[in-house]
Amino acid sequence: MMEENEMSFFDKLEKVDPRLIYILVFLIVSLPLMRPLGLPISMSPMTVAFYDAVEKVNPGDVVVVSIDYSAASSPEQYPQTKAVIHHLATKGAKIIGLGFWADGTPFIDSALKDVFGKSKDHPKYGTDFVNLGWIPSQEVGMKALGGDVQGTCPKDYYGTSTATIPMMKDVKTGKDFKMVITLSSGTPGVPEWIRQIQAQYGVTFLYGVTAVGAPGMRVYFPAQAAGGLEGLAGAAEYEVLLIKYGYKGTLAPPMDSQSLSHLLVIAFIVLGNVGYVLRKHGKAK
Amino acid sequence: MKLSATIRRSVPLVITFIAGLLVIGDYYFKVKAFNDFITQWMKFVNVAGSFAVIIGYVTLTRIHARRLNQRREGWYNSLALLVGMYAFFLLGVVFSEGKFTAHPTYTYWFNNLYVPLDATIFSMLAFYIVSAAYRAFRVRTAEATVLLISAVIVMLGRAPIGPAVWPTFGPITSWIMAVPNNAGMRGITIGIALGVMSMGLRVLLGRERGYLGPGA
Amino acid sequence: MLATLYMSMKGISRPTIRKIAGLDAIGEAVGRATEMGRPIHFSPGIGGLGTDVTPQTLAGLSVLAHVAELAARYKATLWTTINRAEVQPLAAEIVRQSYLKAGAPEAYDEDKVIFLSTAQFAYALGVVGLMHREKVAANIMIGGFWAESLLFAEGGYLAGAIQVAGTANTHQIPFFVAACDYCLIGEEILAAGAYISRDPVQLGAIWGQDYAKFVAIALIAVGIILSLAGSDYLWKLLRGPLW
Repeated sequence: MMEENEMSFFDKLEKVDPRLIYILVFLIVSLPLMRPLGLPISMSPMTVAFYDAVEKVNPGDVVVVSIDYSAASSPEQYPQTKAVIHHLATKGAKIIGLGFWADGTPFIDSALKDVFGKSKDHPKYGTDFVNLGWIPSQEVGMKALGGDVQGTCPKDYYGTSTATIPMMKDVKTGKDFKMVITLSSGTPGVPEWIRQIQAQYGVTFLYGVTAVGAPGMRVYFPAQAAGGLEGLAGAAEYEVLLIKYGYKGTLAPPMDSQSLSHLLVIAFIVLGNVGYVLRKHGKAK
Repeated sequence: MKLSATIRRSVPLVITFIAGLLVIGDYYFKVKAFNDFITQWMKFVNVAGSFAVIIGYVTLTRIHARRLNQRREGWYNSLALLVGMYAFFLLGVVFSEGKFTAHPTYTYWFNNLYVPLDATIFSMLAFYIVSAAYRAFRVRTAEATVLLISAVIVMLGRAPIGPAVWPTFGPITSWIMAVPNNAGMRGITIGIALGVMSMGLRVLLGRERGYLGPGA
Repeated sequence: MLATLYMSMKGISRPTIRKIAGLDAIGEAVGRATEMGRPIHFSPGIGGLGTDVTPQTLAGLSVLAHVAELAARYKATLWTTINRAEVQPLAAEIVRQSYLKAGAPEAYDEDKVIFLSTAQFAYALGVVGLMHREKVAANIMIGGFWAESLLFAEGGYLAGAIQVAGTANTHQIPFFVAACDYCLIGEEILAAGAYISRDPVQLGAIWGQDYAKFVAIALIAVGIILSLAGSDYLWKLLRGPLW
């Protein structure tokens, strides 16, 4: 009788109701957002490499920032976008915002407004930054962009002819890009940019991806990609590095949530394995 | 004029072959006139590709209007889809005063309706990852144990809590990502690239006709 | 690759493919669904046609033909959900032809090959909702998948389905491995068409890929030796223009 009770207890350890798991995840993720723990954020070598590459940008260098993510991954990648544009602005780069995902394009306008205060109506729009909007046809669009920038984007996001935009005067092909930064959560994204622009024109290439995509994108470092931001953690680390430029980061509380949720996952994995091992041990006896 | 089956099958294959060779040639041969021609062609394909949006609209309208008309099970979902789809179309095209998606009203609804909805569904993954990891990660074999240990180390190393508790988590995580992970990923990536190359070769040679549609 | 394609097509030599457990399990999954009297769900992914993920979609459609034929033969209900408009007529025709081939054309129902949505997560919710409503007993997913993969896998698990999944998107393979009963990794899905159909052209292509891998391994080995010796000749040769 005692042995049967022990066996069913081990079975219970292995088969916790998923609803209990979901409730715990909800609590663990939401509580630190209300009461942050203040855990220090450590640096990843990929984030440091990304930062160092952007630090080498000189005033007047043309940098393409491509928003290749959808609304779904915007909570993870929009913080990367703002931080990247802020850093480029402090370096005096000429920023070309564009995207190959239709539902990611509005984020370019939002990010420019968040960093510069205004987008199209800003006095430096057209001289320091420009928003070229959505380019269709994914990888074919990238190839077309590399071959003829103004032909592929005859108008900017707001309907102005790119031929009349001052900073686009000398931007004709992919050769005129000093750097390309893609913030991507899928396809088209990093591999497509590398194939069509980085490999063809030898442009310095950086990426920001969701945490899920990070292991797969590391294969391009350092030969094709000079650095990368990996998920929300990468964005938080980058914000820390930008403190010296007066950047006010907001990702410390979400990183606390991430820490606790990782601990929760580990706890459940250990629980399941304890039940599994003890059940097997019980059967072996 | 009805074309014979041979012509209907052969012409697309010939076009595919010639188009593929030309685009591949653009990479290997740097002849200005040829490269300029290919660039113009890519821009044409770009424009043609944007018409795919219209195909999506037409197909969804056709399918869901039929469901609505026939009052099939769940017809109210089809109504909601059509209302939402055309509301955004009207906001972004008809009533946007020429600003299209840059219009403040469109941006408002995009930021406050579409973004939260899309992000919410994506956030469900957080719950599912925990339940899937809890179910799947068992120390059944030596390899599974190694996978489990490295997963735990990387999870701790990539969140602030790991290095806060033991600073060495960071360098160990970096090593796992840079060496074993990269080795496996590069192997898989090369294998997939060769598979895609093989498929591309079959498409060029007309041996793979699935993309042509039914009856090819 | 051209040489092996030619040799296989002409019957000069034809390779055999090792066992792929996931593909063998498809028969088991369809059989289970038939015994339980519950339907099967199939998804060829969200890659569509006309992108670099097209090979994965085509691989998924070749598996769909096999699944549809089995479903027709065992008289099981098959739901096929589609994310791209251009794939829908292709998938519908493949299923129809498979039912015809199995001798059950009257059992084909075009309403069970559904184009749900081009939006990624709208499609994902549609699929999960269908799996729960219909209580599918088998969930087969072969093709290009992205973030919605775990939604499908967990949705199928909660519906009580046996799951066979495969994708060449490296970032989603771990989710399928964790949540599904059988998983095809990377290029195994590209070999699926050859494995199932034993078509000489596809077998020759797989054979050629294996030789290409030997070449890649040889280049890696030579590259390692040259790097250790301090030479970047091979790296520059492979990286730079040919002339």
